[in-house]
Amino acid sequence: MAALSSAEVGRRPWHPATLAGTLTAGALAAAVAAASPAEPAWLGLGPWLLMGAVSGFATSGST
Amino acid sequence: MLSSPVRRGTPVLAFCLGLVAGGTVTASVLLVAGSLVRAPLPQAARCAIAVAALAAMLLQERGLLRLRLPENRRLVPESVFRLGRHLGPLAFGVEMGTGARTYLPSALPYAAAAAVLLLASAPAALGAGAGFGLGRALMTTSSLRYGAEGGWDEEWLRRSGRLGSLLAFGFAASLAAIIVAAVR
Repeated sequence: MAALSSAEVGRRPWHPATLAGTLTAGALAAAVAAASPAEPAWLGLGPWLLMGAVSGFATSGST
Repeated sequence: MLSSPVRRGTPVLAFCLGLVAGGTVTASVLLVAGSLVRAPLPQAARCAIAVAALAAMLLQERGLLRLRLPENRRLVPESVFRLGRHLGPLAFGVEMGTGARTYLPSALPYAAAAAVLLLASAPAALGAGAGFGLGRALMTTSSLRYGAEGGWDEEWLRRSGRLGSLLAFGFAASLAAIIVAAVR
């Protein structure tokens, strides 16, 4: 496997797959938190923000 | 359009603010319209309809359903940039942020609109609208930081199928969280 250049490593956090994965992981965490007995305060708004962000990011490529 | 002045300097911030503002405008409209829909329906029915809307949009994404969804099939006109270095990108951002003034290449925003219409309180609707704008802004800011002109878009296009599935899964998870939090 070829070593990645520092430029490639530096831009990896901005790769579409990294961002889509991060948003999805956040949404999964929200779903797990919602199903757990504890009710974290961020559960009121967090999933809505994530749902909006996921649907907004999914429109990438429209320009 | 994004190879325009939006890509340089503080106009990016104006553009992103416009996206968030546009998202909250649409969410506010949906919230008001939703007040008519929510009143006669019990919560269980509203949750079921929101889930059904998501299922239909996922089938649409997969090409298994061919609904003619409302969409403004045009690009935001270049003339918005005549408004100035910051006002132009801001106006461009608001138009894109509403999700109603240009192409929508994903069906997920329609499922989000259904969820806001049927289930959202005022803060939740504004959160979803701001999130939509932030999600669109994420595309712009990450594309700028990714490097070579067009590189980010190429990566997106190369993996669009898998990214679409991943985001659909994320959307379903967030809707599940919303519904579970609402019914307990």
